[in-house]
Amino acid sequence: MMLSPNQVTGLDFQLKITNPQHITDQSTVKSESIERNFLDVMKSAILNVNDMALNADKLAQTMVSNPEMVNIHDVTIAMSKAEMGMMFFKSVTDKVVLAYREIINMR
Amino acid sequence: MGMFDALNISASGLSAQRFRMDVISNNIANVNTTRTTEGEAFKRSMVIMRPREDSLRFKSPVLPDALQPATGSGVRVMGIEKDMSPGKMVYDPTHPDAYQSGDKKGYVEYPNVTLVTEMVDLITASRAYEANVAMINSSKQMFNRGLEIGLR
Repeated sequence: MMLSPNQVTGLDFQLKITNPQHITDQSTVKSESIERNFLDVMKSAILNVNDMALNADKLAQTMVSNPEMVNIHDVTIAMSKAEMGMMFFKSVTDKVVLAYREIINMR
Repeated sequence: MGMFDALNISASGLSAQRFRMDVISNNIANVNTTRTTEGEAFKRSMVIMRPREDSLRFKSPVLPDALQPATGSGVRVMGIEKDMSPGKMVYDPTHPDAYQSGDKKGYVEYPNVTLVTEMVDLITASRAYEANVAMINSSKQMFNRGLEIGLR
């Protein structure tokens, strides 16, 4: 096996790739990580929906300020996408809140 | 298979039909143009369309067709071609664009644009546009129906 000089420090060989799977035990999923993952997923979903709405907004503004630049169907399709994403997100959050209520009412 | 695939595909169709309409209106606007920068009468243009592939795909000769990804990703306009068929010849020696010599002396070449053809093309373009809009609306409706699953 060939090693480049900067891989060799004294007598110790540094690991070339630090794969967390080699170090930490990931066989059990901790509830903290579930919580964080769920938060990340929700956050990225919100950001995605927000991006779609912003895109539709930008296109609508361009439509007014510079009508030569955009096709009308691009504006309406962007609006449809934003609406669909919003509705999907709303139904998902409704389900989540419903599950939360179910747990709260458990007694 | 994404949430917006049908929308994106129909959007490409809408853009293509809009473009076709632009070309048709240019043909109609130039119905009497007897001289262009190329020096001859205006020739009508036609839009060439091709299926849009975002990336080249390897088509396996071994796999059966059912396993090949079959859904396309819409249409794209490949280019504009000129219809080089000869135009209508009208005898008008006083016209500044009339042939000055040769056996066509005194004749003016008018564009090969036929209003009837252009109108038929226009109607097909606008109907295709409408069909794409209907496609978008029904895919949105399908999405909404899917969201209704499990609602109380």
